[in-house]
Amino acid sequence: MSEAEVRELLQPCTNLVGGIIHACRRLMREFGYINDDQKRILADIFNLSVAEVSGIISFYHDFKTTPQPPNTLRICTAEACQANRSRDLIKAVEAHLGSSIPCQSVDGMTSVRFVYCLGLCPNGPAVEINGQLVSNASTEQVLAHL
Amino acid sequence: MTTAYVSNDSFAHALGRGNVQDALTSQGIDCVDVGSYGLAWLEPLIEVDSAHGRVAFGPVTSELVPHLATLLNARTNFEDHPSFLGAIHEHSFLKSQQRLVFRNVGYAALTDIPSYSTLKRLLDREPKDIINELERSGLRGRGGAGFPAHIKWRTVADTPAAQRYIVCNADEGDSGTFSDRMLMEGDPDALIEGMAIAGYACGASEGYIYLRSEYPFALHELKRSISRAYEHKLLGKSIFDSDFSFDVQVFVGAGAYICGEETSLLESLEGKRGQIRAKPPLPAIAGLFNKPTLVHNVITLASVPSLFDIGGEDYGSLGVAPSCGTIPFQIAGNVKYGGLIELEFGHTVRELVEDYGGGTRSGRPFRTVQIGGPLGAYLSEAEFDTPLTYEAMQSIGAGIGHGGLVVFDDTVDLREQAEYAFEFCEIESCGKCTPCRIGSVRGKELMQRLPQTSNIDADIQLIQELCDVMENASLCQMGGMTPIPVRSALERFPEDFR
Repeated sequence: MSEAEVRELLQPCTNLVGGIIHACRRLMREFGYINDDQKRILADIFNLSVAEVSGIISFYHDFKTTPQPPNTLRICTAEACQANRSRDLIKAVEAHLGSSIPCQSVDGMTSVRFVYCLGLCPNGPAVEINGQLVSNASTEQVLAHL
Repeated sequence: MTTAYVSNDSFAHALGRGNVQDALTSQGIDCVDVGSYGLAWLEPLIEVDSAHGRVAFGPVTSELVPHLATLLNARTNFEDHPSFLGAIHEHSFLKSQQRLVFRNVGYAALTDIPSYSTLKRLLDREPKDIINELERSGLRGRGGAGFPAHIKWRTVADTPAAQRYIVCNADEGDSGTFSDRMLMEGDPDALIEGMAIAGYACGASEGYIYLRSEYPFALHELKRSISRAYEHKLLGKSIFDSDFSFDVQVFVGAGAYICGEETSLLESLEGKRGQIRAKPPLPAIAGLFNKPTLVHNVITLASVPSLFDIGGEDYGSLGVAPSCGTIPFQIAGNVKYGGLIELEFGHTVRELVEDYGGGTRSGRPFRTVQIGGPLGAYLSEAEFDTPLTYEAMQSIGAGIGHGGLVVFDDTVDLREQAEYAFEFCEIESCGKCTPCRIGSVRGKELMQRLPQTSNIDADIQLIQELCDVMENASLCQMGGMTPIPVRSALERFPEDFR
């Protein structure tokens, strides 16, 4: 995408309250991460310094500054899921991957991350796989995606 | 054609609702989206019309659908199906609930066109008069702090300004809570109408719903409701041909627990880092873009239409004053029958955990309940008869918070939970004040070294001192309340730390 196209993509966000957050979300959806060139464009559009833009991006868990694998698997790490043995699930997944979460699957195709609460608290452990919610997630079920 | 009312709640989606709907449709059954009644273990739950009113089935799996479809299409012998539940309102989990905020959730189709009849009626009254009735209802903020709602409304209304805002805090981040999500997924119009009423009473013409990004289904329903409200002129210019105009927009957060703190939320909504602001000034005086702003949680605002329908006095007579009205409790974690329980204030923890929850899901002995989210206290069974009111909970060093109760069985290690409380604070701290930013890290380290430490009493003393600092010197409740789970665990379950 050329710089002009990126600017065009972000243009509708400039009139919105909290526009830069909307703009960052658009970039995430389009590219999966926000690169340095795009940070400069954001700074220009929203009349901020690049440092301020970096500060905003780094504050929010949803925004990434490095390329991400095509798939995302998020495991809930909150207390209600802990009560339903999510710690065991997390240990099994980390043992399978040989590294601690956040990390990537062995084939590099899936980003494995934590999420703090999906609002499915009576039916833990809860997992989200590419936006699909899964309740009562078993270790086998999760490993099948990795 | 047979119609099935199919729960469209995230609970149902996470338990295979998509496949169930496909299977029903392929059998010639028309599916209508409804919210969830909140009996989480029975999802996906569906209802159909029968000669005796609606009857429910759950949990329905796609494998169960062919048999079910045969019965539904033949309109007979429903009770032969293994997932048959009968009339859902007769179910013991629902029967004794007092549903006001959730009065429509589960029953009303998400495609129904709302009337906003409460708003229409209130537009004939003076804003001051509405706030006076709100005062008589005793409604307090349901987000966690329990601050009297009418004081906020009156402050916003009385602060001179060219622009005022209504901001709904839908950044429901607490573990063990899902009432905001369920309300937004099951009756988003209650929230939007509540915001409009607040807008009229406070003299605000713009409303924002700050929704966490983890709730995509809620986003979908909110958008559907907002555009429908505009279509039917229930939002926008001159609502019901009055002088009142009100606009509502949804703003989606980007993954930050701290944005559930109202000043951090406002910073985020303005397009900044979600760092908290020092108070004063209060948001009711100088909030969004420095204008008077009413910030309320989803349930507080969604309570408004039903509150005015039954009348402020009657609403205020529910509960145990000054904890008035009803609150949707949420029972979760290791519990047999988890879900949403709307009751007036004053019922006990035991009623929720034992009578509704039915014991642990694992079948193992119960050990503790964490009440009020990640910054809430771990209770022991000795405290189970404490009534659920703001005052009684405070007297045992706990809080109702957003009404979530997380049940743990005897495999829980409270030292691990206390360590997690610090770790959570470390991850989610906005970083503005030192006690929270650094204290959380040091607290986690101390908790981690406890099992190997040579002088445990000295370390626990150090943790207590650290908690003192965090409690007294943090700018907001994130750092200020992290000591609550830590101290409650240390006090009630000291054996786990030695």
